[in-house]
Amino acid sequence: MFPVSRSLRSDPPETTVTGMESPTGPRDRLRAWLREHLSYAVSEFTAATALVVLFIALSLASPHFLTADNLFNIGSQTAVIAIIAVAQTMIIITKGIDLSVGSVAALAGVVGAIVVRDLGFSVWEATVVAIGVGAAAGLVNGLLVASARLPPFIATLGMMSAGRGLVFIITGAVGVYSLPESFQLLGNGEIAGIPFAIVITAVVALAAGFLLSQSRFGQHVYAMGSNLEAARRAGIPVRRNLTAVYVLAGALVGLGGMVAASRVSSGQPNYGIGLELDVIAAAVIGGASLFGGQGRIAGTLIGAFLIALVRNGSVLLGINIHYQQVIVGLIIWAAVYFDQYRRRRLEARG
Amino acid sequence: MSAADGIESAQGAADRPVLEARGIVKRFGHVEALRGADFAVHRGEVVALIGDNGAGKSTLIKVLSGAQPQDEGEILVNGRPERFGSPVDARRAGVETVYQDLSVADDLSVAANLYLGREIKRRGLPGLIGLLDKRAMRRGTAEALEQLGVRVPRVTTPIAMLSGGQRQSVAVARAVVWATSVVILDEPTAALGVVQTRRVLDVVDRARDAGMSVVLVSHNMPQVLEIADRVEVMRLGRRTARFRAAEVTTDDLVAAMTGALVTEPEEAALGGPLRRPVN
Amino acid sequence: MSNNMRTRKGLAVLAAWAAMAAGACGGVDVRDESGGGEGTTTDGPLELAVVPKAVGHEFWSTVQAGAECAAELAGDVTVEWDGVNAETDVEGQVNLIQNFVTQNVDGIVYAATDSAALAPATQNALDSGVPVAMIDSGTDPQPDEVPLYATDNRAGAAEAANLLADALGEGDHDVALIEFQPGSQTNTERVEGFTEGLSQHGNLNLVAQQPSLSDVNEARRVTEDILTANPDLAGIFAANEPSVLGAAQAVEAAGRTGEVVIIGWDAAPDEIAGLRDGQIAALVVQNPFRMGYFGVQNMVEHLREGTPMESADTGVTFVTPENIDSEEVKAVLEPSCDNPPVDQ
Ligand SMILES: Nc1ncnc2c1ncn2[C@@H]1O[C@H](COP(=O)(O)OP(=O)(O)OP(=O)(O)O)[C@@H](O)[C@H]1O
Ligand SMILES: [Mg+2]
Repeated sequence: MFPVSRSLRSDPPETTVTGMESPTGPRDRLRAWLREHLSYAVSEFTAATALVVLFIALSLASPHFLTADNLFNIGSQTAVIAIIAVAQTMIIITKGIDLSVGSVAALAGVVGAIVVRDLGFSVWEATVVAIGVGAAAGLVNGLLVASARLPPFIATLGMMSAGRGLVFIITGAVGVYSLPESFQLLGNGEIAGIPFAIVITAVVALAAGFLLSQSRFGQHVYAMGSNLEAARRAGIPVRRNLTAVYVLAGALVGLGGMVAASRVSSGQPNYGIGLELDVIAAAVIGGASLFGGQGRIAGTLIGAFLIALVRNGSVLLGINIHYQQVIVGLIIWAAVYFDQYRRRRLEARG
Repeated sequence: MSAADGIESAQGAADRPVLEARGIVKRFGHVEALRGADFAVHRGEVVALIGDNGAGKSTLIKVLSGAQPQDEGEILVNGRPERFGSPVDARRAGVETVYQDLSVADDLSVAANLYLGREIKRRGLPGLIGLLDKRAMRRGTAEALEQLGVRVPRVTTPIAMLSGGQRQSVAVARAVVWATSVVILDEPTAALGVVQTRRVLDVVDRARDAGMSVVLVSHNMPQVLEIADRVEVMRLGRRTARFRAAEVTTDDLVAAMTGALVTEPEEAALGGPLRRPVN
Repeated sequence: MSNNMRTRKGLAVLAAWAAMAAGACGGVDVRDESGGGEGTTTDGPLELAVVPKAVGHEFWSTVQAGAECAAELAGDVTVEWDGVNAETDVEGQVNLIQNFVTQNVDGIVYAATDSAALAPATQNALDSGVPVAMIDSGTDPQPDEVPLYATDNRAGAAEAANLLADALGEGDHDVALIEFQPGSQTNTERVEGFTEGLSQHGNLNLVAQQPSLSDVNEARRVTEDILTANPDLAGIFAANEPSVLGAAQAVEAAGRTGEVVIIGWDAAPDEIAGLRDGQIAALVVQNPFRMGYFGVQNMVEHLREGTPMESADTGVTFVTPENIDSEEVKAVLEPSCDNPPVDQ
């Protein structure tokens, strides 16, 4: 065995740290820690700055903005988009894209509503069903991408269409109404005074962020998006992992669809048309790259809230919807432009 | 296997090749990239694989590393037939490869690339749920790179921010540190400067000294003659010549690559006696 | 079964296949073949295309029921019901109408998603010898021989302003308007009618106007934000079904049910429930059944007897907690072909 191999395989003893990354005192260690974590944080820098600026501006412009009620409202309003944007981010990191999120969310929502109304399921059981519906749709997407080798755009375009068709077939193109009060738990309930939807979003985001940044699976997700062939040659089971990402994302979309349905206490067959664009925008504003390999949950959340603030602020200030759409478009351009500009500079310095 | 029980020299190697390919055929649609290619490397020797552009060198290497399984022919490890259905199979047999396209993940850090597919998990419960021990991997990477004399800004720098030569050095380091039996290098010095090239060649020497075998694809004839024990020449998808490095000149190699010099029988019987044994 | 079902941008071929494979004929694809044996038919069986603005809302399902009722009563008439998924899919609807012309149906009864964009489609049908009747929303220009069976949205919305004024009583009040699809003809008429109606009541002050894009979640969101921005808000006029549902939920979530008076439009089950619960003060209810019914009935008479088709107002009913159980309102709310809410 080559002498170096030993140090790679096992944990080297604490004392014999050599090489470039060798913090000795607490200050050096702190500096090393900062250096590493700042270099990550910097990828959310542009969007985060915009978020803070907008937040301060709205606080000054409207006396109603900086109130607990309004902030909770924004949180609840953004919950579904944030949950589904997390799912989209995972897929974008693998160099994929999911156009079917709106259709699948609607499908999960109406199925969740129907099992409560017609089969007497509890809201929890219905949530499990909705997550299952989303995961099943994700499995189909994943198999089409990973095994049938369809481009993600095409695979999910088909699902977008087929999923919406199924929604209309199942509902007879009419909303699912007359649901019990308990159905509103996910969308309108509270835990210790905090809207349940916000709690769900926080749990989903933390879990997904942890999975992506700290786990071996997450590492492989980035590797696959960065260079699929390299990942394959490194012995990563790319087909299985890619499918797993789509299933996981589908499950989150199903959960998001259920929260959306719960929020309006009905299964809406038209829900989520155009939702894919909102969530892709959130991910891209937050630093995810459509070329794969890049993207973080924290950035996506910032992107989602940035869009939400624009919308909330527009209503508070009485700005016409058409201007909101223009503003969101400008933010997408600006965020991606500055992000690329920053990356180029970093690379030039590299 | 370790340096202690290593073989003294290539000349004294066992008669069975540690890695051998026989009659490999590989087709891409109508293109027959390999048409019955043979190849062998013995323990502790450095074999240069040369040939004109498109001769099939990289394709043969992908077969030997399991990245692109062959259509026909067999691979033997220490004389035993093995099926390399995936890179994992080859790695299990102790074969590590630096591909011509490097196969690094640009967005991942140096450390993550060095440990790609072999990440260290944390101990105990966190490890069971798949959590990474990033500290250990950073440390291991820093140590390995230092020992191999590879310089990168930081082990947490994404590969995308390294220079071409640094990227190649990382890829070579990854293959060398994980290999236990054979290191395959497909044009590892193509993008390197004089100093970095020297380093890679030093690494090759050290690997041989540690008892490993090295397969080196190169278009640089003086380099080949300097570092290799033997040379195998490919032309149009098969092996056409074999030489002991000490016995040939650059002109011979060029002649062999262009087809003017042939040492192999046109229809070499698989595993049959060779007209000009080199070992 | 029709396989013209489509999603946005006309990409629903897959879905249609799924529908066919499942053998499922829900409300999306309906080919009503009942009533074939009755009536004397000198001209033989008729096949009529009936196209809503979009499938997916209670309103259009009631239009469908009216259309099928008229077909059944006329006898030997087949209704081909098909529509796009979103009212915004104007191009999809243009293609759909074109396909029906190509199929050479006997007549087309439809609601235009966009008054200008669909005008050529109507003209093209007429040029190919397929007569057209419009329901709910017409085209601009609309040829003389094409009738419109629709609600007078302007008058209905103006009356909604009066209802709001009555409910709020004396004194100055802030009110908000939740519109649905800026740019669409119906939306414009209701918005204009409402603002005209408001101008009659100097004490009502319109402080906010936001669109729901016909999405309940979006309606809820904008209403929440309007309530935040206008703590003194006293009344809301929400101009279609999803807008009403979202607005009512937002008011309820803010704990201001009863304080904020909601005047709604349409009569989905949850809107009726909201009316009974006191979340909604009054609903302007159109007669979608009558639209579908008039459209098909007049088209059949035109085809069989050559009667020219004439436009008609299908009327609105103002439903309040007081009159909700009356016979007249019941006939409108729960239309059935046994007791159709039509007085012809
Ligand atoms: N994936 C592939 N699909 C189709 N043809 C291929 C593929 N890979 C290699 N080939 C063909 O196989 C032949 C051998 O290619 P290979 O890359 O093995 O050559 P090489 O000897 O490594 O050349 P070089 O010195 O330029 O690297 C070439 O004709 C090439 O076009
Ligand atoms: Mg090559």
